[in-house]
Amino acid sequence: MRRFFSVFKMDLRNLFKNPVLVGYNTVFAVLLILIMGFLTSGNYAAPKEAYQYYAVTMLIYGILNGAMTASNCFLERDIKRPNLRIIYSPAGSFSIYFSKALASFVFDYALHVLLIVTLCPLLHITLGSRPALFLLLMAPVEFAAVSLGTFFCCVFHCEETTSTLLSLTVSLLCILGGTFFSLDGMGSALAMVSKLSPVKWLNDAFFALCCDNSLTLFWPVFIGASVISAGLIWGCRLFFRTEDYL
Amino acid sequence: MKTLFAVLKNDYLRLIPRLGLVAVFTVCTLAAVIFAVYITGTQQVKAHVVYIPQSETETAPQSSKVLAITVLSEKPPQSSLVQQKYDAFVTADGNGSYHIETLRSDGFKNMLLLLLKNPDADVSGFTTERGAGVNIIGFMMMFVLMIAFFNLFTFADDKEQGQLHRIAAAPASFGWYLCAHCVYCLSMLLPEYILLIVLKLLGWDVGFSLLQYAGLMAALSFLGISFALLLNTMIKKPDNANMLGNSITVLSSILAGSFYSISENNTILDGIIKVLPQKEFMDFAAFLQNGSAAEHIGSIMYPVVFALAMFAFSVIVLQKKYVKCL
Repeated sequence: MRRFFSVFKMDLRNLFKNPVLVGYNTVFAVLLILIMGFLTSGNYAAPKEAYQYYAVTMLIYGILNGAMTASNCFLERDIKRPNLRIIYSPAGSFSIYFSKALASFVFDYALHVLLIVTLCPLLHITLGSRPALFLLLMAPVEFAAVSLGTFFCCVFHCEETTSTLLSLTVSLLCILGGTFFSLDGMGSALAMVSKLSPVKWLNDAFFALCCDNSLTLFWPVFIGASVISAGLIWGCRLFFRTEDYL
Repeated sequence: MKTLFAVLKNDYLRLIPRLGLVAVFTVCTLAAVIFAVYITGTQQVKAHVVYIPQSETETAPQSSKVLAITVLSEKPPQSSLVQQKYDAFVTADGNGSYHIETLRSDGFKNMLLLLLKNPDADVSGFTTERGAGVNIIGFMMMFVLMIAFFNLFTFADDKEQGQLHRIAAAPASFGWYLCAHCVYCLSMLLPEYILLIVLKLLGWDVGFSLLQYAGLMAALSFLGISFALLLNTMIKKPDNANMLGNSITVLSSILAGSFYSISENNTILDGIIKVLPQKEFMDFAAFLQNGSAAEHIGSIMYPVVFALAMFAFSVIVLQKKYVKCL
């Protein structure tokens, strides 16, 4: 446990020391929310509704992009070689991928909670009558995203392939799920396609939580994300091969 | 000249292990183009409305081409308004006047009232429409810029792994070396162009002529290449350059109104947006659609000059760094 913890501590420190990753999860996310909210505020009578929409959808976009944090944390050129040394240390291979996933999770979750808590009063965004539940629901989704990133790393062993593939998949699912503009109003065919995207289900769950104070979608998303996370971490165990690092 | 072909061949060979990724990128762009054609092709519904009858005998207003009415016995949750699933909830009271609950502006409310009374009313004055060509170019823009970034991995790898020092020292022309990368990046847009040709042959409305598309796409791609070259020159790690570049591309493309034009007026933001080369590019596409391109030749010159400036700057920095003897 102590061995795992020292690897984890190092990973977490590396993440916080990476200015691009910190900027991506804070400044870039805030800019996206502000810009998209501002651009579309003409569609609403009160601008705060536009900010409400984009704060939630962009937060989910940021959470899913946590997969890229994980792949960066796992396979960055400077980190890949030290991984090899950990394999041959008593810490074992589990410490490698699980600590990357956990460190990315802590890093992303901390930044996203900070982000949403600062933006709420500033833009008059509501998280519903139980904000704690909103923050709680973020956690398993966040962990599922970083597990996905770690899993892709174990399968492809190449940061570039992983991040390009992941960013494309995530962006595509987000566009279909209505992150950048709602597809619900663009005809029944598109609304149907939109329903196929898991991002849409996430959006629905978070919107139900913050606008309707309804918990109907809370448990399905919570349990679904937890199961997916566990499955992906198990998948990492299957696909992680020491030889890939030689 | 010999350098050009050697580097070009080398670029394509290095592409082979990444074919899967290129395919994914290309499919996304193609999907965006088809999406754009679909969006413009279908008559856009102006308002999605839920009608909640108070009694069973009440008849709902008529749906039409521009007004979609869903009749529900219960009011849907508030989140469907925020998510723009529906634009408004409508109830009627006894004497025929409508009560509208919406998050949208008064202009929309007025349009909706007009439509509820007469479903076929002319509401073209309330919204602005974009043509097929502007939509296609706009939807394609972000992807084309990102593809340029991705394709310049050959240059980024050369630089990061120190090959550039050797190339600069070898009896090869540095200018042709960069030119080969540009030609290679441009050639990667061929699938998109072929799709446009196919769509045109199938009789779809794609807005511009094929020659116009070739020019617009070349200008756009050159902008992407120059920007990618600049960032890769200035930033040591290709990963960081890629991430920063993609973020800037996404943000500036959205701001420039590639997906939808912006209605809001704000002097500060307008000033910022005007500086973006993509904005001028989109304006030019709109002018081209209206047939007034000749008077607005400056709009296309701006992004081209912008790209040239970035390109020239990168070349000067690269020459200073690597080709000291010149």
